Amino acid sequence: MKIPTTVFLVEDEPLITATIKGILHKSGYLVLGEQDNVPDAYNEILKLKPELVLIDIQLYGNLDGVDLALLLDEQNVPYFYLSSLADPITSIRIKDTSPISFIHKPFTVSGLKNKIQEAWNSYLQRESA
Amino acid sequence: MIKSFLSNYLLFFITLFSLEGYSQQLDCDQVSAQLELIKTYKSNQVQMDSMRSFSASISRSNTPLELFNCLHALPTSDHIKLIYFQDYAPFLMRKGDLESSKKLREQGLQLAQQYGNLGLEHDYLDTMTSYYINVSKADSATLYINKQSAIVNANPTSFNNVAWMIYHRRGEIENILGNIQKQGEYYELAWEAMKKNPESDSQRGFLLYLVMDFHRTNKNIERQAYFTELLSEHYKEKQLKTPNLHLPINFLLLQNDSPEAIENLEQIIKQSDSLNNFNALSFCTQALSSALLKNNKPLEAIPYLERTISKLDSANYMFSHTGERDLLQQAYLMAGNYEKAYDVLADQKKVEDSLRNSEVLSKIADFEVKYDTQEKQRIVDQQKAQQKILRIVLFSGLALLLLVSLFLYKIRQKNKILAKQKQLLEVTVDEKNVLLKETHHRVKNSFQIVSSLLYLQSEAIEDKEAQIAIKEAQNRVRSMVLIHQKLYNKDQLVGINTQEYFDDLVKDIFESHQFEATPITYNTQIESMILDVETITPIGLILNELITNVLKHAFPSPSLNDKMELRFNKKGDNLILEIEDNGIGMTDNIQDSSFGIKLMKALSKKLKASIQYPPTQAKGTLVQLEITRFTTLD
Repeated sequence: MKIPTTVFLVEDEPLITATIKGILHKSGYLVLGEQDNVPDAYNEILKLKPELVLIDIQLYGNLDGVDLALLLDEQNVPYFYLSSLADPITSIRIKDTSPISFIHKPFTVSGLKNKIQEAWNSYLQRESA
Repeated sequence: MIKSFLSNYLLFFITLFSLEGYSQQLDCDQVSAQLELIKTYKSNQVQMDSMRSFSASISRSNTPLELFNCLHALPTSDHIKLIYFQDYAPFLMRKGDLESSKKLREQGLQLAQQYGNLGLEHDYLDTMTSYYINVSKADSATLYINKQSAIVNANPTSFNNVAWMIYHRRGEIENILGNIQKQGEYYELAWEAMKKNPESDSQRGFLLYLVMDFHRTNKNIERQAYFTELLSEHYKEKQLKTPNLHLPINFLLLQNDSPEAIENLEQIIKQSDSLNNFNALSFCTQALSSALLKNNKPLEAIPYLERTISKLDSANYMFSHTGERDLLQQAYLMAGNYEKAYDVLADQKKVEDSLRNSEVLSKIADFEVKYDTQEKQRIVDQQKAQQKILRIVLFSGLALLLLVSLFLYKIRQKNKILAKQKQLLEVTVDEKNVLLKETHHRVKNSFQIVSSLLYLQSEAIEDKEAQIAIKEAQNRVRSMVLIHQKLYNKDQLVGINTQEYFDDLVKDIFESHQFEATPITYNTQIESMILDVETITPIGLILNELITNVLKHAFPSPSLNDKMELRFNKKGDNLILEIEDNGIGMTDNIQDSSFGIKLMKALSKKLKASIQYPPTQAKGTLVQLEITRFTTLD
């Protein structure tokens, strides 16, 4: 049996968190944990060492998903953005980060499933190449 | 107006040409007839122009004085008199009628002043000056030359071409007074004035000769050579064989004193004597006498000189009063008759004294002072006028500057206000953009939550039918979720690309459908265009129903050949959406009551669309949606 990919979820809307967890679980991922703010999320990510992090940009607290992404870039932790936010300032800040992919909200079940699958596979191919 | 003007000039030219024809044999009747013709012209100016050429014709005729007398006897208006008096007066003078000549000149001057024609006034002043020079009255000549000069100085541009005449006349006056050096200075000034003005070309030869001759007489070899050169150059240019008028005759004779020339000259003297042509008589006599004296024949020269002197004295015509007496004196000296020579000298002295007595000189001095004062006043006036102009220019410049700065200030104020308004507008636009983004974000998030709620609920429900119902609701929301995933700004209007959206929607529906074993293949032909959310939302929902129907009902027993095709394009003014499958085809009784059908009917109303099921060639179903109300954003 294939060892499931470990995922950490950073999202401040509980309903959406539950949905994503459900979809990921059904798709064969192992969700290691979840957080709704950057400091706690960062600490847990460092501790749990997930293979992949899903980050919503708008989060609880003063720091947002892009701040976390910058920290994860330093640690070489791969991550996805998962957001509907696209204001100009944020768009510019995003350019300084290196996400595997950007998943737009609102997403559909199969859309999320496929997007994660595709992006993760191509990331793995890039890494192994 | 123009027509009459033209006809006037036509007549004038006809007159001109007819005059050329009989200028040599005019008689009194013809003069009268010609005058009547001239009088018929409507314009005074045309009358004057034609009179001028007629007067010239009379002057060229064989009997100019008689013809002028005829003309003068006829009644004429003032402006005609003004013209021919100018030519008439010199003839009277040449024939010795000094009094009549003077009267004509005075009358002409008066008329010119009344007429207000400055040009004619100047010309008559000149005839007055000329008259007094001819009768050797330096004081009166000075009076008139000053008046003449005043006109020329006051109107330098229009009298440019006659400025030299003033100096020439002044030179002649100085000659009367015996101031040879001053005469020379004036002659040189006359040449300087003429040089500046190429228009006076016709007089150029005359003046050049005059100045040259003056220098020759006064043995100024250097200046004589200079003017001889200029004169030869002038005649070479003009290609004239003989110089103008009487003076060059003298010049030519003195250059060539052959027997034939002398004989010829004697004949001219005789003729001049009989015709009372005083100028010619005087100059020819002098030229002949000089030649005779040069050839050591004083006794032959004496009778000519005495005859001419007595003739000129009796006519009181003293143009060359001293020339003849000089020569006569020389002749007596050469002949050894010293007593006669002394008499001539005494006579000459007497004449000269009468011309140059202290009374005359003081009068001239008075005139000069008066003239100088006038000139000074004129210059002061001119300077005042210039200062006034300068002040006006300065003031207007200042006013203009003020106006321009005021204008610039206003523009700057306006620009400031505009800049402020622009800033405000930019802020407003920025705020609006931020607000719009924020709204989009919230709408998207809300859709995500709705979608999540349905998903979570469908996962939790045990009942099969309830689960299907929730699933269908979830699918319907999906068509809207996908729209909001792709929402983007295009010129502040929100629109969706049909190709991207339909492809995504079909893909999502097919992927989320649980296929038994063999998946149904599908194909899309979608025309790319941008539709607004109001249009795309019902289309998306209808499409969801149609595709779901195909997946649910068209293929009860799946095979590898199962196919569905989606076509979307613009046809005329309408949009056409077609879904075709090669399934089992539709049952005859469509369940109108089913929720899916109801939903599609309701949504079609919004699009003013009709749903049709055209028959297909092969088996299967074709559904056609024709949309008539929609908004594209390209």
